[in-house]
Amino acid sequence: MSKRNKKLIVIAALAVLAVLFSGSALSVSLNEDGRGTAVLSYEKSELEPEFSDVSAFTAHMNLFIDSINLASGQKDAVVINGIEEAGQLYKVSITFRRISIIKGMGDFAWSEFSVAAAHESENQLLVERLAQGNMRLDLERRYEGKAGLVSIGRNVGQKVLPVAADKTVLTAEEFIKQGQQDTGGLMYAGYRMLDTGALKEISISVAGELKFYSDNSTAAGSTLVIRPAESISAQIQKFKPETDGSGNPVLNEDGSVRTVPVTVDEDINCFIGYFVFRPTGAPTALILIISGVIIAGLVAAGIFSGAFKRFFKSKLFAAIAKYKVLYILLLPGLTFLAVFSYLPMFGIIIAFKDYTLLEGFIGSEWVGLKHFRHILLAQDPTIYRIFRNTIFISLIRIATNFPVILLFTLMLHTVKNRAVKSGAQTISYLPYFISWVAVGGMMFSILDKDSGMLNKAIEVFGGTKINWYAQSDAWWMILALSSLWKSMGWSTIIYMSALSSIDTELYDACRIDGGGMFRQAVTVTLPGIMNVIMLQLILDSASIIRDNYEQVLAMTRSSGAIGDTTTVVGGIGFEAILSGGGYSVATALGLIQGIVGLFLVLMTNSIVKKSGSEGVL
Amino acid sequence: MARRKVNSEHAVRIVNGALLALLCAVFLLPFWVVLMSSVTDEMTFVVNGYSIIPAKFSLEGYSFIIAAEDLLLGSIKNSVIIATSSTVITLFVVTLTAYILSKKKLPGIKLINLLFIFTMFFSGGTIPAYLIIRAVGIYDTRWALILPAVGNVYFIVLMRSFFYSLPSALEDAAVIDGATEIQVLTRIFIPLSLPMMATIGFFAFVDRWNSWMDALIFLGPSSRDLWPVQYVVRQLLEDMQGLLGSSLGSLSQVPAQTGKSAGVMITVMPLVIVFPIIHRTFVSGITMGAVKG
Repeated sequence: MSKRNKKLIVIAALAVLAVLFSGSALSVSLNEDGRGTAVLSYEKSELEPEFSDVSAFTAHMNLFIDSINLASGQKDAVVINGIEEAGQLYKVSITFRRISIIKGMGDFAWSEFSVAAAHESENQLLVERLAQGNMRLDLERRYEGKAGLVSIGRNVGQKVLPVAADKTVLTAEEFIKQGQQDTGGLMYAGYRMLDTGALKEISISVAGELKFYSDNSTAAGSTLVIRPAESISAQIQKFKPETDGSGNPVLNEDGSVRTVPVTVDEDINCFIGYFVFRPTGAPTALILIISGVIIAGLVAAGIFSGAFKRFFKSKLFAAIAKYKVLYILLLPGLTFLAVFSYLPMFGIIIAFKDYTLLEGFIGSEWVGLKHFRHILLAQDPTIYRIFRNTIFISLIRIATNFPVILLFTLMLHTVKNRAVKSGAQTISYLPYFISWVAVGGMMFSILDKDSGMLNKAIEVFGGTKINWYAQSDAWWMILALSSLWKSMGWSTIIYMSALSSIDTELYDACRIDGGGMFRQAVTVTLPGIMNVIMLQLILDSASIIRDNYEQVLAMTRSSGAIGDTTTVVGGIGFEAILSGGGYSVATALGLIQGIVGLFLVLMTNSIVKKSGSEGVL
Repeated sequence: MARRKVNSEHAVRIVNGALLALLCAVFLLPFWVVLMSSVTDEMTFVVNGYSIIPAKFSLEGYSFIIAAEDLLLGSIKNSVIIATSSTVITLFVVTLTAYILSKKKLPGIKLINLLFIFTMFFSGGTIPAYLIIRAVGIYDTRWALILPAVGNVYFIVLMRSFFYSLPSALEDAAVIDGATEIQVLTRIFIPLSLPMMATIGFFAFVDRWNSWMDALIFLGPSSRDLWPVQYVVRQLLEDMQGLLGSSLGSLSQVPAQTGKSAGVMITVMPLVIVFPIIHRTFVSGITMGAVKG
């Protein structure tokens, strides 16, 4: 869809919005997870005459909702459930998903109160700004530039203070403090809406009990907030037909009337506030209760059936009791394992959510397999590229490193002089123990365009310099070879130790049979280290889907020109953390990588075991 | 016939030796080139680029990089603290855990072993790890760079294999003499496994000394006073202007390029000096664990 078309739809939507909201009221009900339903009521008498027919009204309503979804970039952000005529009213019931911004309707936020309060500086600023009646920044940000239609160019002057359920007014600081102290799962809901028509009030009912609300709202009962509209004067950008000197409309090349933006001052209604409520029957509480009941049931069943008695009298328990000190000593190791290896595995849950820092681990919205569907089915070229790079970098690394390391082992094995052998080994081990940062610095001395050794060598042989840090198709090989340089020597260790356990009589026997060095290598050496070769193959094939982002990051010197071939799966997580967004997609990518990797290990392990060698698991 | 075979074998050995010498040169060349560039005069370097022998010698790169805002010296101190404390805790946790995991008679120990091994092949990933670091409250502290590494399962497996290889008669005899399980560990197993512990300690130290990715995400962007040395050198290589900022003055007046090489050499030097002396110990340690494992 062209930009122009999009713009037209947004304009049309706002026009419809202006018409539709005349004389209406909005009643919203909100769940603890931020989903909800709303009913918009319109008085027929205040609508344009063309909407006296319900089908015309429905068509316009559909267009309106579609444009909201289009602008919000989520096709099911808002869904119309039904439109009914009730006497002099049209009642439109809609449901909405929890999303932070429903563009064209306003700006909403849901989160756990404690999480919202944890972002103290942000929220304090927001609350303080509202308390001072300075709403300028908030509304400007949302409507200027994005929709390009409404901008409020002055301070609005409406003060919004949090009021506790007992009617005491809290300062911004106290409000935030309450949130930080609360551990009881309070929910925070904030809203900022503009209405160019005459929306009179919004009533929001919550699935729970109100704790705080803003002093511009009224608490009607313990679960309902009513927020009357406040009229403010705003600058609204509209488009009107352009006319030439004699008052005739100016046409575009395609024959349409050319429009020009004009800014007009207009009174509009605004709704700004927030409230905090304690959800009833929150799922976490429910889960705790259910699991408590189950555990209690199991314990009771155990007592009544005598299973516990039997267990405590059993040999197994006696054995455990006998070695209780050992089990206790296992605790430090188990603790580190649990905290740094297994707890993060629960963190994988965010791959199934739309995780945002503000909403937190528990508060963020469940989206099911959305990210996985996107990664696996959407044919996104970026995602294709990172998987392609990850796999090809690994394949090229394995294909070049594996045989060279084996050959290097045989070369070392051939050396008879002990001092020479040990010297060569020591030198070859060195690169393994230096950091990738240092390797990155050293490789720069080889690869740099003007000062690097490689280009100097190329010039000596009459070639022209190559800017390696912009040569994207060379980087799979550069990464493979630098891996080889770093690990070649050290990787021989495992082969060398296997070689040392080969019976030397086998070589003697082979020699007596007239076998030369080559035949000795094929008939004695290789079979002798076959187990280790297989083991190495298992580890290598499992690493096909893995990446070494540390190497990539240290070596590519942030050169954008080679990003096309060097972006790998592992990098996405780091980028997400450093940029503060995209956590869920990155976690989903990591999970796919991890599962495929695990599958490869298990598969190769069973193949190796079937072929008669020892596996790793 | 036999003579020809001996001759061809001789030829193979000569070619082999020559190739090995060439390979060793390849291994050493990057070290050498960066070392030489770090002791080159900046102007000479700007004109000539990297070279095997510097045309004009100077130590300005080192003095500049060491003086710059105390950043490098402070980060070396940080890395020493991080690597030392991490190594000590690692050795404690790894030895203790490996000892218990090696006790095949313990009920359920097979399952617990599997729990450990499994994490070598599957992990939650970068973001969950980051969220946990934040959740346990060690984000932006030294502990974030120390603690996640101390339960290293690879080391535990290495140590466990070594314990497996010790003859069970040793333990049986001690138990008959009335030793407790703990005494078996402290009086018999630990003294026997000192070379292995030295190996693991060396590896743990080098691993922490070389790490910088964790500093990238587990430390806040402004915690300069916690940065480890590799992280500082990385920033130096990537963005010297951004790192040293105003104190840098103009890049044309300072030995920026040779300073970068000096930074790299400072991180590498301790290892290059110590490594040839001690590597024999841990190579034997590592092969001991690897073959049995």
